[in-house]
Amino acid sequence: METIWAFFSSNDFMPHGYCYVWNTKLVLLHVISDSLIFLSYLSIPITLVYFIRKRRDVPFNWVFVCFGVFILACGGTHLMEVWTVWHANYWFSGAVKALTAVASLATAVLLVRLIPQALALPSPELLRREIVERQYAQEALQHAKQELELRVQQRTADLTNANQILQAEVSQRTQTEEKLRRSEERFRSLVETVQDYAIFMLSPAGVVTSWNAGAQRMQGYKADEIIGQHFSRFFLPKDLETDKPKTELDVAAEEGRFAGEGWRARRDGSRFWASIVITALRDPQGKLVGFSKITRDLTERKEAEEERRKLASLVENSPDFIGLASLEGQTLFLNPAGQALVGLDGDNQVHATRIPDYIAHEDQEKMVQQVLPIVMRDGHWEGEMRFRHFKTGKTISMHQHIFFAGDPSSDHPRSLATISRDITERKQAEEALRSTQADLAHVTRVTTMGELTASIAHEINQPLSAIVNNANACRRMLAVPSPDMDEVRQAVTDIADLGTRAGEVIARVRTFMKKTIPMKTQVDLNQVISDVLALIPEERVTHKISVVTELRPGLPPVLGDRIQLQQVMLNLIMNGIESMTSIVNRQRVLLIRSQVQESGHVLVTVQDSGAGLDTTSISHIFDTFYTTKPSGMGMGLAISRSIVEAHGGRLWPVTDARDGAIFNFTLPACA
Amino acid sequence: MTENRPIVFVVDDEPAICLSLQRLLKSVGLEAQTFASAQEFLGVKRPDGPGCLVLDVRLPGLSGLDLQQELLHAKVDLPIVFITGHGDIPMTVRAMKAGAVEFLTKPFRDQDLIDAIQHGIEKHRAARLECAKVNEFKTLYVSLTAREREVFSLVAQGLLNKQIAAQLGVAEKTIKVHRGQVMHKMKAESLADLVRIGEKLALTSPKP
Repeated sequence: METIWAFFSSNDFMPHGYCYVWNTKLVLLHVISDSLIFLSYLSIPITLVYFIRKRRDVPFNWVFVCFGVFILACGGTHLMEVWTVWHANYWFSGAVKALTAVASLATAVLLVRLIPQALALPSPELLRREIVERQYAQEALQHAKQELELRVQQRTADLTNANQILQAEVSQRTQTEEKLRRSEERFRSLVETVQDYAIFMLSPAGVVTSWNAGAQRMQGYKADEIIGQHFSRFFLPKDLETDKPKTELDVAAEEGRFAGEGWRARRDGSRFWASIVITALRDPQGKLVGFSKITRDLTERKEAEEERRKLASLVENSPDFIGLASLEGQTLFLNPAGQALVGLDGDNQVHATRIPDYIAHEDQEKMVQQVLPIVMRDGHWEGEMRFRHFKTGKTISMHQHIFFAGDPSSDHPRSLATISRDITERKQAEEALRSTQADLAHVTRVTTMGELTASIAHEINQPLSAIVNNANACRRMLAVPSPDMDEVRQAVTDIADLGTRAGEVIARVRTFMKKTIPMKTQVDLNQVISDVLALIPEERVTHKISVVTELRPGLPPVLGDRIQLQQVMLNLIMNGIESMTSIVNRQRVLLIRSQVQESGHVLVTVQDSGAGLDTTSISHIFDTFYTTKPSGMGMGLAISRSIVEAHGGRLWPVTDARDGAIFNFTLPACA
Repeated sequence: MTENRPIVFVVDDEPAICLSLQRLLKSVGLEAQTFASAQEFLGVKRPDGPGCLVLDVRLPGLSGLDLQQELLHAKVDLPIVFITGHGDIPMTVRAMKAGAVEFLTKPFRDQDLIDAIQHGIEKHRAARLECAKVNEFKTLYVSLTAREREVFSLVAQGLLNKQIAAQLGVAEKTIKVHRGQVMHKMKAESLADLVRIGEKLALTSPKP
């Protein structure tokens, strides 16, 4: 370390300036000269390097590198000369000189060895001559070249011109081609992607050669499935029998185009209504090269058409009078049934009529003053209207419905439509029914009266007979000399009582007769049951009967005569009570139940635990005079049934009751 | 032979009718028993003696006509007078065919009813007498010997003694003895009387 440090230190040497005795002029002379030498020596290698980098063709250029190193090293020694004037680093300065010596020596050795080779190089004189010759040749060449260039220029100009023309042409052509290509592409894409039309090509023989998306969608075949197949597979079997595919192609080939509609089959066998255009394709020479076929699926339209046709046929074939008129009353349409009904022949006659022409004289005013304003206001009217026959003038009873026709959302003017029905027969039937009902009512009344009369006769006959018997007994008793006057008195008392009883019967009958014109009101049957039960407490006590009621709360009312229904109820309850008087081995229970049936009828059941009804009894219970009661008149059930039936209900015994008898009656509940 | 007082049975579901009839019959000296139904009538034991049944056609339960049939089946020969408030011809025919004495419609004349009842009672009385006689003859007949019964039977058929003797293979004299015994035992006063008795005992037809 110290050695290295000693190498770069000045040690004990004196700077070189001392040798110059710090003579300023001398020092300056050395320093400036050495500095300039250094700078020059520094610039020379740079120049040499630049030269060899530019002139890579110069032979032996490594010599220049040697020279460069040698000169740079020399420059270094001169720089050290300047340094050592003030600093005594003579070791370092000596080392630089030694380096320079090595470089100089190497360069000198290399240069000596280079000489023979350098001498082999052409001399500059030779080179100059050669150069001159070459210059001549070059000049000649130059001249020729100039001439050529001239000609070339001329030709180039021609060519450029031609090229420009050509380029313009090419550009135009490209544009056209591009246009064409685009157009074709657009067209192909249109054909390929169009969904609503099946567009495809056929060979002259009818084989499918192209297939678009619409065709796939419409007919169900994919392109690879159908291309190469004959188009006859699109036809229904019955069309194949008549060779329709061939006919279509023949027509297209002959006339250039075939157009038609018909059912065609899809791949899955389903049918669609197709509108078809087949166009023959010919090459410029007129030779048939194939066909294009465009198919549209018009199934929906076809179905809509058929729907319309059905609707039209509905109107055409309807037995009702169906007509249309303008809002001004001009008849626009009348279906055949309507025409036949009023005696019009054909549409011409129909169009000549107006709404009021159809109406019978009696209803003209009603139609014009009432009905049409209502239709204008409400949009419809329904009711009875008398029409007239155009030929015979006969009145026809109609049930007429008039309403606005036409879709309000469309621009079509709305019209007046009517659907009317001849109700002449119905009216007659109604009349007949009314008459029958009146007859029936009369018969019912007569029957009821007959039953009533028999009942009255019976009820009065009993006390009357007893009166006669008693009176006769009195007469006989009084015929003897000393009659038993107590007995006579008793008989006379009985006579009076029986007479009173007969009178009561009459009074009751009179009351009943008054009520035979039923006062129909809304009657709550639960209330009727309660009323009747309230009337007979004595009977219940006497006969030790427990009355159980199962009355449905909120029972719908029935329309009827309260008194008559009370009679029915009383009758059934009394029947029940009386049937149990002889019962000793079981409880005497009278059950009264009210229910609502699904049919909307109110059902009342009266069940007793009495002797019951045997089969014979059941078949006779409604016969007049039939009774199973010790004191019955055989009238009650007959009258009760008449009353119930007159109220539109039904009264019947339950035939399979175990103990006692069950009677049901139903009455229609008020709507 | 002393007879019980006749009794009139009245069956009617109307108490007023029963009572008034009872009163009426009492006024002519007839005892009456009343019943409200056929069942009630059938349910009581009737006293032995002549009688008559006054029967309402329409009764609760068993009707009057049904009761008539019931009595016929039970060989009860009680004469029946029907009374009804509302009689019709078929009903009447049916009742009369089955042996009813009378069919009266309420209200009826008291005399008609009384006559019918009296007639019925008389009929019943006669029938009862006849029945009693036959019973007596039957008792007597039991006392006859076998030969006597044979002879009685042949006499009742109207054969002469000679014929009977020939038939039975005995002497005519023997037959005469037997016949005398039969007449004595049967308490017949004459040959004619004996034949009549034979008829009542149903001996007139030859026995097998």
